[in-house]
Amino acid sequence: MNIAACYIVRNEATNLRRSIASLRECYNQLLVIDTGSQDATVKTAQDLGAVVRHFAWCDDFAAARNFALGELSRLTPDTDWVIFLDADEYFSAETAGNIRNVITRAETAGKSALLVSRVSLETATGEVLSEEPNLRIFALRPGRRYMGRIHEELRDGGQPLDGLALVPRGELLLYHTGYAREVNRPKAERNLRILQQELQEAQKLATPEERQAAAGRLYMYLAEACRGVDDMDAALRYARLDIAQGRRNVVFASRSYHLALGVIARKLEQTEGLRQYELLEARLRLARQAVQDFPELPELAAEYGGALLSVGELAAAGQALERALAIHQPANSLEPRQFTAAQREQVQQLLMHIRQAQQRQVFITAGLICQDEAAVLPDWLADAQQFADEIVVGDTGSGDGSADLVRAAGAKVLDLSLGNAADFDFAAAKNAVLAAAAAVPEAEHWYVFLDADERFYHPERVRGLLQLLPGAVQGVQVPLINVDTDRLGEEIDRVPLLRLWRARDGRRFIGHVHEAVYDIQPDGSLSAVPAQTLLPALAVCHTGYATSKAVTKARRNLVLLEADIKAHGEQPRHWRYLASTCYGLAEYELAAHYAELAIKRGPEFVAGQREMYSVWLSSLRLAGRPEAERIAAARSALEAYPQETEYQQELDRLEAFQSFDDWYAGAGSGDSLAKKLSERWAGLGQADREQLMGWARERGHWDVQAALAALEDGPDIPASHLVQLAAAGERNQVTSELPQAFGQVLRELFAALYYQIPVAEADREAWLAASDVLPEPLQRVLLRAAGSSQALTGGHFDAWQSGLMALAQGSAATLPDWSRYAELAADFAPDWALVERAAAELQGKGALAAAFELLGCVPAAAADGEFWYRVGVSLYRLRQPGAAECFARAAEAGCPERSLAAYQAWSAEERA
Amino acid sequence: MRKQEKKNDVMVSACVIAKNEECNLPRWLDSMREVADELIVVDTGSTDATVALAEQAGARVFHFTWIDDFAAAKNYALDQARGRWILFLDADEYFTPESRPRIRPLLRQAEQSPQTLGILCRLVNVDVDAGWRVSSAIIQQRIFRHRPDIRYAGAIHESLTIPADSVRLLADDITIYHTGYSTSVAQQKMRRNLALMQAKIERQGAPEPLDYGYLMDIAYGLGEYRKAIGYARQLLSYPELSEDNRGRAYEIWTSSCIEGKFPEAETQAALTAARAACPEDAEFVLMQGLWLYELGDYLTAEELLRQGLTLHERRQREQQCERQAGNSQSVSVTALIDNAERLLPSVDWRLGQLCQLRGDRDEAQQHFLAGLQRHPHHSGLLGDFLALLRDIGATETDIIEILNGLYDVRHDAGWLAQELAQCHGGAVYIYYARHAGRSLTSDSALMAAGRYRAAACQAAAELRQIYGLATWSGQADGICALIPPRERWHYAGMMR
Repeated sequence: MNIAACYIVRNEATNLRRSIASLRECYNQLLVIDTGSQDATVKTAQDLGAVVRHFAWCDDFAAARNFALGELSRLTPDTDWVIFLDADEYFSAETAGNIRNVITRAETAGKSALLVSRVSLETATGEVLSEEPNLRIFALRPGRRYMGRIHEELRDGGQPLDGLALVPRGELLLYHTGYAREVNRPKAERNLRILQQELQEAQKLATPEERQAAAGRLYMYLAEACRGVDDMDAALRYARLDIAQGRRNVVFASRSYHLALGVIARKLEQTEGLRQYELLEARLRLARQAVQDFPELPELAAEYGGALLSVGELAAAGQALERALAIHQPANSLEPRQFTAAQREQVQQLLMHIRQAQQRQVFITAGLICQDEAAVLPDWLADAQQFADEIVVGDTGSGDGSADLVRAAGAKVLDLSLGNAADFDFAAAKNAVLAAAAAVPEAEHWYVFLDADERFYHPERVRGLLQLLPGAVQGVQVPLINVDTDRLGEEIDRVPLLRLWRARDGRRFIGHVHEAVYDIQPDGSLSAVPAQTLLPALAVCHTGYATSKAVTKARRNLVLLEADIKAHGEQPRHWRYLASTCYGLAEYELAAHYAELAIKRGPEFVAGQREMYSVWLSSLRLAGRPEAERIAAARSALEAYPQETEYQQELDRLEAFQSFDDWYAGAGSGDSLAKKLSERWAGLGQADREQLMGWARERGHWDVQAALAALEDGPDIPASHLVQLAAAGERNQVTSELPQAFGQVLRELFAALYYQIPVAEADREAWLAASDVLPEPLQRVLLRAAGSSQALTGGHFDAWQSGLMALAQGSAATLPDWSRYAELAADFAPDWALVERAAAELQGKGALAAAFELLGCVPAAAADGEFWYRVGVSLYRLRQPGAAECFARAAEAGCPERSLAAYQAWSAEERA
Repeated sequence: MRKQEKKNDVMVSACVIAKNEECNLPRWLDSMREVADELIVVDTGSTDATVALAEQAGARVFHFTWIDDFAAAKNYALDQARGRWILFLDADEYFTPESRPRIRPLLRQAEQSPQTLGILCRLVNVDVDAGWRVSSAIIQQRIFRHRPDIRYAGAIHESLTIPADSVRLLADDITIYHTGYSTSVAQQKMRRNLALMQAKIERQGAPEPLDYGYLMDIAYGLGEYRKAIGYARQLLSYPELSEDNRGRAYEIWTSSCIEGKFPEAETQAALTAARAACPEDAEFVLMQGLWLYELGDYLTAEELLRQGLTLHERRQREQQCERQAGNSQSVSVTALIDNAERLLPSVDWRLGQLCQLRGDRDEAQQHFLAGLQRHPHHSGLLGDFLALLRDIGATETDIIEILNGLYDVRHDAGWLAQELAQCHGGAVYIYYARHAGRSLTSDSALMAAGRYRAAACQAAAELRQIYGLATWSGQADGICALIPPRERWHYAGMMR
């Protein structure tokens, strides 16, 4: 049997000597490809009997390796097997003598490619970093070539290899020393560059399957390269893309999980507790999926257990951690062994911690005061039942059956409907609830007080999280996330609030209106609840705020301010409030004016100026004020708050636009512009390219956009036909074509957004951003369809109707959800004529059942001839009984519809 | 250009006069290349690509200085022609693909009888902007012998003078499509014609009877329905009026009432008068039926539509018999014009819809299919037909198969894609869009493929671009007013 050993090297004199020695002369041919060494590598190789060939490095590992295979076939055409090592790898002394035997046996067994276990050692300390199998020995066959500029893989005629076998580590073991713990940044940058180039090449392949396969191979490497250059978001994105492909049959397929979990862990460390909730959730989801895809890997089970524990899922965490200890990675695994003894020990400690926590006696009282909350109470009660041992609700005078709901849920109700609403004492009411709670001296007693419009995202975690808390902790703050129910629950802001605390004498609510929990000291003084901690996993969703309410509030505030100004004259103290209020009312010129005044006046209190700067900058932008003014404002804002990224971004964007302006002024036109643009474009990163496109659009530089579209690697230019016309100066032609293009894009955008409803949380941001571009009435219709609490008014009928047209006309394969769309028209109540018109429109589009459902909202008293006619049409055309009666009623009520006679005749005929 | 098949084959010249016809001329050239041996293009001063297009197509191009006289220009073209037969179509006219192969055999046949000097064929106005809607048919002499005594006369509405004793063949299977009255160009052209017409009447002192016909057409074309009715009634007051002109006057009168949404009683009266005057004509029965459908009087509408259809079919059969009996000379001109035919696609459409209302899907399908066979490019018919197919559970593959049976994918894929983008085409849309070479990353294609997120992202970018273009154009206040307030600042720079 003819065996060849092969290397590709550059400046590896020392390593190469050690590696070749470890082969124990098992080879018949030794080939070294040098890619430009400046040290003694070439001489060393020649001394050791190698044939040396030179290959000019071209950022392509597969090319270099394929060159080696080609040289080998030329040198010794009868080569049967190749050992292809890196110079920094060598066989262990114990196994080095087995190489030829292993190959002979593989040949007999019909195997043609061997994975050898490779142990990576930390260069400095010799510590084992990881162990994973690598393809290092294979039979040389025609059609076997490497693929991939980097992280190259050996393929059979382009297909994944057959006849792969794993050599038991007792028989052959490689050591690898090139691996260092610290990230080698230049190398990562080079890898990223090559990979991105490869990804672009992959996009050019003919079929979607080929494109997907070629790109799919790259994701995990891209993720690693991005991490190497500290682009954590991109790393996470690529890792997720890789994971989404499902488990792949490659060496170390789980690396994207390891990487993604690592990145999230790092982000968690860098994120304040208030904002950790989403990361904890992401980690949990990812770890759950990891153990599903790789059930044999103990370190992933341990990760999953840890993720469960951090959100208080004690029982599940215990199970996962026990599994981590119980499973054993199979000997022939393609995955590296990473579960170290230290980790094992850590898992055992966590398990002990969990068992202790589970034994703690925790008694939870959920408390609430409410008035007329029947709409939200069932949810609140269902949540409380998941974690509380008792529920106490103080009813302050509901007329909507709230108290009955509470009683039906088995909770205690206190009737607190005393006193006069104007000076109602909230603290007293809440304290009454506290006082009504059970006394449980034998347990750790916690109170949980959420308002009726506040809900835990995960009520089932409350108990577990409380059990895990150190005994010294007295109060728990939760991240309270204010969401905008008018905008699909988009977050407005979040604040840490004390919502759980241990029961203790003297710990009670103080304050009539803005009540809060305090400890009353023996001397009668008040102090904050001590030893508070924030539990990021216990996030609470608060739905009390919304865009529509904010506008109402701003209007009310403006009235108050104006009254005050009328009474006392405009004072400097008014300015900041005027600025915020005007901003809320979309009066941006005024807002900018007052914000600037307020800023120049100087801070009134510590936290104040930042908000004014934000209002100022946003108002200047939204009012469309000159950029020079905005740049000056952004600079002064940054001077005051150098850390504020929002201000920095604003300034960066404005300055980028200015630099594009300068460039454009010298770029000329026609060919000169095209040439200069091509150079400029090539030198820009993705973010800058987008900025350039935005600049060209906002400046109305259609020539730049047309030239961009003509670039070989140029972007897709939206509405490119019109842009070409505009670039040619055809203003009249553009004007005459615009209305049609506008109408079509409106319809397409509306439909594209509607079809995404219900909008997945992950898509929400992009969905809102796209819908924000639509004319306002269409936005309102869509937001309402997507669940906004802001009802439509009769003024939205035209927009509703345009939306209907858009949905009825699109190219989508399926019909839209008519029933949801019909429901929107119920907002037109009590203008029943409008509701009936909407039903007629729906019928015109064939949405018969939806029209029928909509008509269901018309009360009996408002049922006129048109109503019965429309109901009849839906019934008749749906072949439902009752149509004839409806038409008879319509006729009786004097319905003027001409086709009524026909329907009457037809339905009578059918009945007969 | 077609090669002369045999030495003794007839020699055919196609002539046209053209000024700035770069949009229309390619279609004319395409249609004529199949039929004629030489193409004569007389250019009267184009500043666009007309001449280049003609030369590329191998036409003989001549220049003629425009002297406000259509006849002069056309006769100049005749002077250049070398063929024994002339095909003289305007640049916005062309033979339908089905007609083309029939022309030369017909000419060979006509060669045999020396007294046959011309061939009458149908000219149909189609509205390119309204999905190739066929509006009305008239009879025109556009094929004639090349003889010194057959020449054009008249500066506008020029007509062919042809010896009185000549025989003209009626060729009802040769159809010319005229696109010049498409909505987009009609108005402009009508105004031009009106000016010419008024000048003519001024010159001659008072209108001649046929002038009322032109004025009526122009007024109707410009949407001045009251005036059009006035002229129609003037025209009808001439006792000598030919059968086809009378029909035309009633058609304008009734159409003006319907399109002008005149009081019901007035429209009803016009239709009654028309039906009384032309009792054999299916046209007015069908018009009334279609009108009543729009009004929602479904019962009467259905009755009239069926009645009109029966009448039309009976007359068709009668004509057929006459022709088979060899009495082609006795086929009346009115039968040839047959204005009921233009209504048939709509009749099939409405009858189909009525059947659908009543739940009779089978008959509805038959009507839709028949309508599409008569007029494949009828958007409404296609939309309802597709919806019906989906309702009865046809899969996308079924639908593609059915459409491929109805259409010629090579020619119609573009039109089908455009229509399917408006009626939930899905994969069917993608199929035809691919055949038509349309982008598969357009919003429509993304929607059809269910890629809603990508479609939304792209459409939003397009919308922003359109806001920018609208601001730049400075003449699109309607669009600018709709830009949401928080978006406006993007375009503030452009406004300064």
